[in-house]
Amino acid sequence: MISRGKKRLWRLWWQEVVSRHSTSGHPRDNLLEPSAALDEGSRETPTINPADGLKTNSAKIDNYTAATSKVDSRVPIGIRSASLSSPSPNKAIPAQFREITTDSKLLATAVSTAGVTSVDHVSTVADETLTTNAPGMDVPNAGTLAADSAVSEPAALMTPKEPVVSMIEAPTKAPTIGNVRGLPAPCLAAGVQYRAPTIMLDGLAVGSYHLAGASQSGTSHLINGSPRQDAYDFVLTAAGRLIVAIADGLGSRPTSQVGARLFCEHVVAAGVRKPDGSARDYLIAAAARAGAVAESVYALTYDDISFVAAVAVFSSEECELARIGDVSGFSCHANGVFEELFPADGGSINVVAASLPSTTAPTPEIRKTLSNGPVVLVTDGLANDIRTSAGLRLWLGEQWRMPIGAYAMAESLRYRRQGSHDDRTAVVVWPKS
Amino acid sequence: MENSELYTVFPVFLLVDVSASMAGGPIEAVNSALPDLKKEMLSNPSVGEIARVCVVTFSDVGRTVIPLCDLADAEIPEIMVEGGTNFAAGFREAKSAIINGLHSLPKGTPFYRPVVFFMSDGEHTAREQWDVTLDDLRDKNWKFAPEIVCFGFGDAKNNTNTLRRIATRFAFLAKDTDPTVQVREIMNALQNSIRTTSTSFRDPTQAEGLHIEAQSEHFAQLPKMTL
Repeated sequence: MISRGKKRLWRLWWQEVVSRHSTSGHPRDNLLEPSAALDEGSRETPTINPADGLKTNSAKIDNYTAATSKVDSRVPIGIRSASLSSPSPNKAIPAQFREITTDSKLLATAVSTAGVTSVDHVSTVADETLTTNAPGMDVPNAGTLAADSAVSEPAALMTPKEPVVSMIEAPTKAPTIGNVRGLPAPCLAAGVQYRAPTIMLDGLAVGSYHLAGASQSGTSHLINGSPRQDAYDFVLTAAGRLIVAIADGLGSRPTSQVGARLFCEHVVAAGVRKPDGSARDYLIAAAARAGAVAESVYALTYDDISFVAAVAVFSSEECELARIGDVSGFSCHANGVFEELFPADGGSINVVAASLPSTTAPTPEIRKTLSNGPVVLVTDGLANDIRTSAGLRLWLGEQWRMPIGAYAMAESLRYRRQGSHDDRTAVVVWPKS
Repeated sequence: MENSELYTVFPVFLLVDVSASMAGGPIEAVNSALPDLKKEMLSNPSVGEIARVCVVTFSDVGRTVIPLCDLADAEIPEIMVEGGTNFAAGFREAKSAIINGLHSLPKGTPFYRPVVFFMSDGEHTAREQWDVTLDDLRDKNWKFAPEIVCFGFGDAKNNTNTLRRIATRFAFLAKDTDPTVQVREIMNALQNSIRTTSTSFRDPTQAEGLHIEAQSEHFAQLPKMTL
């Protein structure tokens, strides 16, 4: 039984939630609109961008897999609503409520407002609202929640049960594209060396440019407990040139992240040392230096740290790009139109024609473009998605239509897409108008 | 760029010998391993969202018992032992399954180079010449030409040159003396190879692309045949 006092507290909390989301101007403003609910039907035909009402054309979905979507991956990693495994579709919890209950900060604030001091108690409420049914995780209460009362009367959810959530993650509005499966909770395997943080972010003015960058671990790495192997870095020269490096360590080498990281650092060092160099100069010099440092400091061979990479130099007249391997660059136009700056190879995917460091003199591909619109440097996991997903291009085009900050950049890469499990790294550069 | 949604596919073809010598433990090991492979597809999204699996058997004739599909959706049939051993029938059916499978995908679908895992415990016994159909399957000018990885067990140890001839790069001989254990280890190696290759994000035709997880304690790798 729930006391009348507790019910009152919950009502206060709920009013706080409603008022915050209806007045904040935050992208989650429509959190409480019933139309945003992700019901069983919308998982059958996955929604690309609920806010825009865009949907995938079900006829285009892989015909082997279209009928089997059982999982709502829009719920953050490792956390999923009990309603998804409920035998009755009528018992589904509206997505907006699930999102609210996963927002730990909001919950803590709401409870503080209502005068409840125990944050632990609130996490229990979240815990019983959400269950984790990822493989390998204990799910004592999966599918047991009667959820009809979830929106109008949160107090009804307060029946104490065993906590089952292993992790709370911030909600996202990034789309789910295709038939995706549930993700196990991210983990770290034993003995991993040279680990890069799961995600790195930037969003700031750099001279006469605005730059937003994000590099995040692919779900494959997060599942296996291996580290992110992409890297990026950038530097502004005294003369106002912006030099950006991006690198992708080969997945077959457990220490290739060292090469990717060293390369990016040494592009920056080369840019400081020789501010008027070309993209090609920086790429070759930094690759050689990364190889030398790996050998002398880390006792790693060229093979151990193999990576593919690109350098872009933005000046007042143009943007010059140089690359080795399958990293790429795009110019980003209105309405989700992306133009790839390097020609696609047209063959099988993920062909690595060359990698760095190289014992022979590498021959980078060079491209030049006018620097009057956003230019995006990406590693191949993201490049493949951009090439093959109209829905993703629409989403990213909208997210990157104007300069954004670090957290917005993180949000832009939080989409889920069938078969997309590689690391994702993007550096977007906007010229200041 | 595509104006629709195209999802990357890693097509995997199991080409399984179901001649009479497979009766008993070996065929039971195959039948018990396929549900495990299905479980892997369901539990590991980085494999299950990419790998598409087809099962072809061969004896006197070749049969596609599971067309190229998301194994998570498939009903796994019981594979039955048949009669003689006709490699040519197997290669012909494998080529047909590759064509049908890849043509059923939406146009423009990005795909890894197909991989055929060939497993046999014996020698070709039919009158038909098998090397002609093998060359047809391996035709380098064919855009779907697969990598062929061979696993031999049982009496195949007397026939290693055939395994080397069939394989494009990798041929292995199971070490255990019990054919049932050998098949179990082959299916295990095969499942691990699909997992590692699916998550490597590199094309299997490339040096770094195809990862065969055949542990040396269970398998002897045969030297590549040079023509």
